[in-house]
Amino acid sequence: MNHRRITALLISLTAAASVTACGPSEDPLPGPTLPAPSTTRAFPARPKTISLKDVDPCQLLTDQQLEQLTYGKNRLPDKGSRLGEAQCSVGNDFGPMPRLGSLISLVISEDITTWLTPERQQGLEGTRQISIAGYPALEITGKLTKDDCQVVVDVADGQYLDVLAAPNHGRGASPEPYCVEAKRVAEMVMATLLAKQ
Amino acid sequence: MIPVLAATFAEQAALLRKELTKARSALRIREPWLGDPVSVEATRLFNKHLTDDELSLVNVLSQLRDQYQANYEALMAAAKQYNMVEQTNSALLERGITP
Repeated sequence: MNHRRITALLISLTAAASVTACGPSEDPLPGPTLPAPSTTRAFPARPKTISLKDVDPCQLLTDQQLEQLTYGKNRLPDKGSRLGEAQCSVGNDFGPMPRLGSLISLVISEDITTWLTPERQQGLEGTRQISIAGYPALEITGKLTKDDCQVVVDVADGQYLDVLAAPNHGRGASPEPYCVEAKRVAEMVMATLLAKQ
Repeated sequence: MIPVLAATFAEQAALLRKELTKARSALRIREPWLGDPVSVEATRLFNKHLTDDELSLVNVLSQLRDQYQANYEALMAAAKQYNMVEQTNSALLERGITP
């Protein structure tokens, strides 16, 4: 009983200490433009923060960009499985082979670093740090399906852009061509996003 | 008949494109690996049905999508033969698909 009380006291003390520690850092600093370095977040700094809240993922590839990708203009919106997530599916349905498709997801309820946790890593084949439009990003290949590739781009704390590319005719043999495609789509989406800022 | 059928297959092929990429994306997040022997066996069966097996979800949906694409292309070829391309294109546009 005594031991429990001490533990409870210790927990409340730690909580109180962390609350006071958080206090001053939340004050807006007028001077520096660089984001305040977080002690818990081991991820490279991004050029500037882009909010994905209330952004329509189907507006992030222009008709010209879709043409460059040989995708059709049939953009299909959907809701994702994560809270507040918005998705848009685009792809080459009837154009020349090879036909590819991409799923653009805007995730606003999870930080990009979640992909580096052991729980998430268990389902993955590999994670590689890359850069998309100057923003830190991860190239992710899965264990269950070998013929697709995902690129996630760090745009804000607790928000990231997620592009998954996969074959849209037949099945593929390796993730490589889909990683190239996911990066290409992610670069274009970032170009549109940055132009809107 | 040809224009409506062509537009239906085009629409369904696009819907399967979306569902397939959504399934692939969800498969990375589900994290069914709990480590204990029962979970490991459950995971093996789960993966087999979703991705590994010839009759897995991803394989069957991929084949269906390919079939719908082929049906659309065959109907579009027929539409050309019967001078029904314009009607087919407007049936596609009605469903938001640019030919």
